[in-house]
Amino acid sequence: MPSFMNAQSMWAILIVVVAIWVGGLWVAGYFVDSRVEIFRLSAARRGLGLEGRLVRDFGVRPPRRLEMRQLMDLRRIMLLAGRKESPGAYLAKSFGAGLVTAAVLTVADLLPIAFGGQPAVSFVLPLLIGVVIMLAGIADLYTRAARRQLALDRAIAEIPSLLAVLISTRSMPLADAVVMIAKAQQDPILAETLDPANWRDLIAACPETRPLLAELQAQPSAGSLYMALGTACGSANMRELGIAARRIQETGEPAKGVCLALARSLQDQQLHNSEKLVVRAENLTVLPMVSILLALFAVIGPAIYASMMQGFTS
Amino acid sequence: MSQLLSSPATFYVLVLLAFGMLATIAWVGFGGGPSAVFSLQKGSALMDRARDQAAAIGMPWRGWVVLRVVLLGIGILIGYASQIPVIAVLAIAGTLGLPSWIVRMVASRRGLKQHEAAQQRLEQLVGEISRSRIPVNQALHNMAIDAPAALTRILAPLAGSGDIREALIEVAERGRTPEMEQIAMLLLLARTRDPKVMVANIEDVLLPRLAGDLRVDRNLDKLMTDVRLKAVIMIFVISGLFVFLDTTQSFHSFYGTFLGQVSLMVAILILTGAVMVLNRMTRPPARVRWSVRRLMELEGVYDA
Repeated sequence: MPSFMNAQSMWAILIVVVAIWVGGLWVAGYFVDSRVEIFRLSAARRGLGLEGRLVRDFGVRPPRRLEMRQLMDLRRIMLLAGRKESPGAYLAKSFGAGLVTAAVLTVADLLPIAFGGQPAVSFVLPLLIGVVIMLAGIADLYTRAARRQLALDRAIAEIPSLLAVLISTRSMPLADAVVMIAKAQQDPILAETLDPANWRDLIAACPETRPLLAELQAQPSAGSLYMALGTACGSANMRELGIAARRIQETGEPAKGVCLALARSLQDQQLHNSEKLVVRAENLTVLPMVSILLALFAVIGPAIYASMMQGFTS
Repeated sequence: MSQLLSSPATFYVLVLLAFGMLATIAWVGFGGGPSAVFSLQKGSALMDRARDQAAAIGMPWRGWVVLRVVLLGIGILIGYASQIPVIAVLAIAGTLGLPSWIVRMVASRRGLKQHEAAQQRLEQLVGEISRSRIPVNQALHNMAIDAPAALTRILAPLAGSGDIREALIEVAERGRTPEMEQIAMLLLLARTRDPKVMVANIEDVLLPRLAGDLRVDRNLDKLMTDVRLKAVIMIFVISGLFVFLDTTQSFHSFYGTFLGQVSLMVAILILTGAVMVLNRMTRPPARVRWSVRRLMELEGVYDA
């Protein structure tokens, strides 16, 4: 046994591991009831939060346990990514592609043995490539889902001003106006999400919105539908649209004014995001400097090394 | 035979073949299937992009395609003249990718100018309808006459005597930018028999919307200029140094060797990696594009 593996160091390692484990669970929110987390979240959103600078800087996040549960829900992720097949079929495809790759590469690697030669590379390499292919299929699914979520948010951010005009000049119901504008967008993401065949699946796939499905199917209300879809798709803008629709339906406020207020709020968000990007670009000055230094070293370093060892032309 | 089969080169050729096969399986299985690979839709998306780029710099799209082909030819010639394989690949990749990269920067500035001009023109339109009480169609027609240079080509359909609805759709199709599409759509939707309603909609909805978009666009233009400047400095410093070193015979022969090629590859990877990271970390979300014609068709169906 190596000398450092004595009883004391084993205890120290155990304590560190347990501390990391407990700390990880704490960060993930396992010791706080989700109702408390949701209360904190809503308090912080109203500006009543007691959180310090760290939380203000990084923004208020939903409970991590909920986030984790949503991330692990493959059926929901598949619906968000716009894929219709079952999660099992997708996983089978992804794993199958990895297995076929590993098998083909292993056969290619072992082929020389039949002719009395040696395998070209270790058998671990084909297996590793197979695993990468498997993981790439799953990573692709998550990337598509995230892209579609962003695209959905963006698609909604552009419609309130058009809604305001359409409702005021054509006396059109809000839900019809939203569908009409969604269909005029070149990216069909919003029109697809609002298609009854799709929104039922999306709402049914999300544990938070599942109980609302029967109610929505029996008595469809644009506000409730958009709010439920916003929760199911993780789209803040869709929820905002739902809140606006509810205000119009329940308080009788003029639709044009509500839509314009929503348009202003979403545009302010866009402005804020663009300002954040400008600041980020200014803070990234160090990246080109480091890259230039590294590239300089890559262009000159080997040449100097070669000249020292054997001269350039040899 | 056994020696040939057991060589690493054979293995890697097989690896490439396997990847090709798997890429096809993955595309068919996970993507849109063979129809998506071989359909004309992909070609039409490419042509659409070429049309967007050409419109962004105010060129006819056929001229733009010819320019791209000529640039590619120049890239091939530079690569051939350098006699260094890595530089040849880089020259071809550069002449393929650089024009779109530059166009995006020019397009951002040009779009900003168009956008500012459109805002001024709309303010004039509101003033004209309110003061002179002329019909909306006449005011839209006047908007195209004496339009500023940035908008002359785009607003030209409004100057004709044809259907004003069709002219506004054409304005959006000529502009090929999200902003012009939004303006055309809002004008089409705001058009009513009562000029007061239209003026109210332009003042309450369209003008504040344009002002907000302009602030966002100015920020994004500043962002793009900053990021592109950083990338250009990186590329120029390293290319300048390489050209300077390559004039020396000993360095030129070193870059012709395997080690020299590898060191150039590493430098290129570092630079392209840094440019990609910069772009990725500062990429603004893409604006939504619209089909104004489809909106009008849908509106027609609803009205009927």
